[in-house]
Amino acid sequence: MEFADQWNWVFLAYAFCYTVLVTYVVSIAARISRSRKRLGEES
Amino acid sequence: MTPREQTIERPTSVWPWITMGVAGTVTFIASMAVGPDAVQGQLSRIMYVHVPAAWLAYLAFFVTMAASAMYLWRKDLAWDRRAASSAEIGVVFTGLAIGLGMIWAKPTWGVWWTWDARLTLTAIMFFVYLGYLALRRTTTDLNARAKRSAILGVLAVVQVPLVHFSVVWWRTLHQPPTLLKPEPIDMDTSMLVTLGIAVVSFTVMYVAMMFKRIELARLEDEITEMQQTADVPIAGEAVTAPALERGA
Amino acid sequence: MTRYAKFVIPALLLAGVLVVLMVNLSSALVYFNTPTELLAREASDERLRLGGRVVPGSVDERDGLVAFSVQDCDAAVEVIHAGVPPQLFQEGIGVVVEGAWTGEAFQSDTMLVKHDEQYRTDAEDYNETDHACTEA
Repeated sequence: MEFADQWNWVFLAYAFCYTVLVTYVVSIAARISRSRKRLGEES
Repeated sequence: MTPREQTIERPTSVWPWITMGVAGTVTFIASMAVGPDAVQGQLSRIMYVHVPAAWLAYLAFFVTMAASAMYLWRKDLAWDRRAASSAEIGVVFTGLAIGLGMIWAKPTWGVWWTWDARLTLTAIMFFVYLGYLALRRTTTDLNARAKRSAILGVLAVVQVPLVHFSVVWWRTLHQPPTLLKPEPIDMDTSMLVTLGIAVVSFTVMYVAMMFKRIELARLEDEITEMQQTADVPIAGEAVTAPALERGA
Repeated sequence: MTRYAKFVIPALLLAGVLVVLMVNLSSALVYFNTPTELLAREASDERLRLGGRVVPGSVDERDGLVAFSVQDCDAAVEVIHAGVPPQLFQEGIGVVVEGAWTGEAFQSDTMLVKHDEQYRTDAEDYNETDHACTEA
């Protein structure tokens, strides 16, 4: 297999991996701050 | 449940976020530094994220099982929050392992997906744990929710050994495990060390994610509780006229 | 009792679904036939999968066809594959081919490469003997 071709697959895999992880972590952070805001307002 | 004021005022730590970033960076550097495999070439680098993702799915679902069992024993909602947090993270890592597996399969096997035992059982496990998360949305009664999901959390874990040993018990396209097997490991030391670093880093990342996800679960439970107590009039406050129509 | 039934019934249902899945899966769980199993079969148009190791020195490529032998520990079967093999295809590697058994050769149109669990930076270190017979 072409050298560059293999690297494209590796790049795709790592881009997918870190996109998923970062998106999930950001979603936790967003949900925490939304919940805190809500508790702060209503208490 | 801790009083509302205590949790909201508890300072939120930034250390878990930093830990996740460091763990992700370490995995990336280690997997780019090691040499390629003689047969698969650069494609073997995908292993250093695929294998840890699959490992974390197993670990997360074991933690869900253990925390669910603890809930059923102690009836403490803190265990329910741990179980739910671990299940959600487990679903993310199962999805990650499947996605990375597909990206690895296309250039090596020649197809994105095929219905062999390993892939089929992993897909089923993914959907069962999505079902677990869906089950938790069916009621706002915290104790009922905790009990239902704890039973599923304990039962569903049988899939983990099924998925892992599927490649040993049945004839599959997916290769047998490189790690977590009785036979000696067939891998260069440099690659094994890299994979070890990746697995440890991902595990650390999981622990950091758990800290934050449990913090979120606590806040969400407090909101649910607050909404429910808001609906119930406080004793002595019920001075409004009795609603006669309601009884008719 | 009804309170417990609420939890026990879904649990039993789930267990039931898992058992049914397992029973139905067990036929699909054997992803491919070995050369030994294939040789014991009658020739037919039935679509099958054959898996094994590509016999070194047997690969012959011409006119869009690839002919080679696939072996397990006891037997070897001639495969005639119509199409371009995956990029990792080479002598000594594991493959799974899809097609029909004519009684003399396996006519395949789909090929998947089945790589093993070994990882070596140097091709010299690849352990051939240990894995030549472990596909079955």
